[in-house]
Amino acid sequence: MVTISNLEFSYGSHRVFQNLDLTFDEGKIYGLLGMNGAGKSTLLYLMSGLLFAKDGTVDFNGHNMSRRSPNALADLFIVPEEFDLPAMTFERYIKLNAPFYPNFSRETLDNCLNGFGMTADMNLARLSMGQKKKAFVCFALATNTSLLLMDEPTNGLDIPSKSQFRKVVAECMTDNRTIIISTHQVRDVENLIDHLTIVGSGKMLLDMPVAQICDHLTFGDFKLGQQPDGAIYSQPSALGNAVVCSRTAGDDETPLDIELLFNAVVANPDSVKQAFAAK
Amino acid sequence: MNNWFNIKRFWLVLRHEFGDAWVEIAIFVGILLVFSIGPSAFFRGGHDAAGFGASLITGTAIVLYYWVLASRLFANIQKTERRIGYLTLPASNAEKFYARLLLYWLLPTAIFFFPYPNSGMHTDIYVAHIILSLLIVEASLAVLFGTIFRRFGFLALILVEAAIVNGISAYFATHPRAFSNFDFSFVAWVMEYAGPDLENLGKLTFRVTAVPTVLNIGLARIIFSRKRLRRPVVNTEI
Repeated sequence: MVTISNLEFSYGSHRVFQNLDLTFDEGKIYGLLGMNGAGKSTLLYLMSGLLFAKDGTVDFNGHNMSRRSPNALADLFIVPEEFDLPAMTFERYIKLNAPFYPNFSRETLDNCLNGFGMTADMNLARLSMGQKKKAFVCFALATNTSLLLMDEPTNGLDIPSKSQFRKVVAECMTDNRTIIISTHQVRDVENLIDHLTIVGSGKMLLDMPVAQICDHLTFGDFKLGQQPDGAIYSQPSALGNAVVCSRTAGDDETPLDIELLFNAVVANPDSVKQAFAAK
Repeated sequence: MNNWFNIKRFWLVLRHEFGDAWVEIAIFVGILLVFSIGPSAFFRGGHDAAGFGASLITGTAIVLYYWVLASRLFANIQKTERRIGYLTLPASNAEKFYARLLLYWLLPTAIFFFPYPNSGMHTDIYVAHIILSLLIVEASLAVLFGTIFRRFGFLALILVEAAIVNGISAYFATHPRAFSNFDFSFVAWVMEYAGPDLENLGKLTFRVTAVPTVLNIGLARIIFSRKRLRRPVVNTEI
């Protein structure tokens, strides 16, 4: 689906990526995580042809994305963190934009809008930022593009809308579609993503399916003073300490705690690598 | 489907972009209509002392707005939020460029110059052709500057041209000999080159207009194809 090879990119003298190799396969929802300034948004912009790599290539289904070929653009959609919708009815917006996407489905759009309690006859100029985001996400899902990139899609959404977001994304997911969600709000996407990609310091810190992570690591809370064997990272929590441990034979599988894993990877990347290599 | 230019897709882009352009085109048509009626009418014709001043002011206003409109060709990519949507719209760079060019330059040019030949604005046919040529070439420069500087294209154009004119003036002011030797009249040159044959005059005007115009538009097209996002305003703390 998307193959990034030997990517090098910088803003002036500030280098963001160096020799980055990465692949995004179809049929998966990726969670793209990283510290502020790590290059998450930049990576999405490079994948959509909005930025050009200094060296290396970004290939999407055989298209070099720096050429912004219309056929490639018709098969991807990006939901940026901040966007601007024109002052018109959503119905008119659909009429002007949907014909660019050959797989656009009006039925999917109406279903998604229904889920959020919205209709297509609304005037975009009168919507709040959160409502605009919901409408835009619905349109993005309805385009049925093979690649859907979302940058902080749950920012500005109210609490019921966040769970609805997970529901509509899961419903619109297909085997030949790839969704990449860049976010800091990991709780909002915790049960949604099935592959985790963490970037930092210009390189890939972790790139692994959730199932494989849970196969190698366990996550849990322990009372103060109780430090289990095989702990590779701990941080204070309401119950005492939240701990990431290497999973050994006989250990039960625990649900993935993305926030804890992220902190472990950023604070102690070598220990996490060793834990994955050990099993 | 053709990756470079596809008529169906071009039509879709044109329809998409018209939503942006129609207000500014409507203002242009409105200004033309208002200034075409009454004693200050730009296209009134004739050169009586009373009408000339007013006609000059209204004419200047129309011409300025025509140039400003041309320089606003890519005002839609000034803000990052809008730029993302526009650059990822599934159409080729050529389709996007020519759709905006049609709406912000060719259409206003057609509206502007349709009544021009019959306006009687310039009794001297040679002067009329020179002015027509200058207006179009200047508009193509506005397109070029608009592509480079987007919303502030016209402002940048004025600054650059003012610097050039002032530079030339300063040169002649400090080199009186050069000024005294400078004996060139553009109108006289056109009259001599084209002769009395109006067909020759038409060909000359076309050539003098077409070459720099095509160069300016071609350069703008190349620059547009390299447009990308600038450094993002968020997530840059490192």
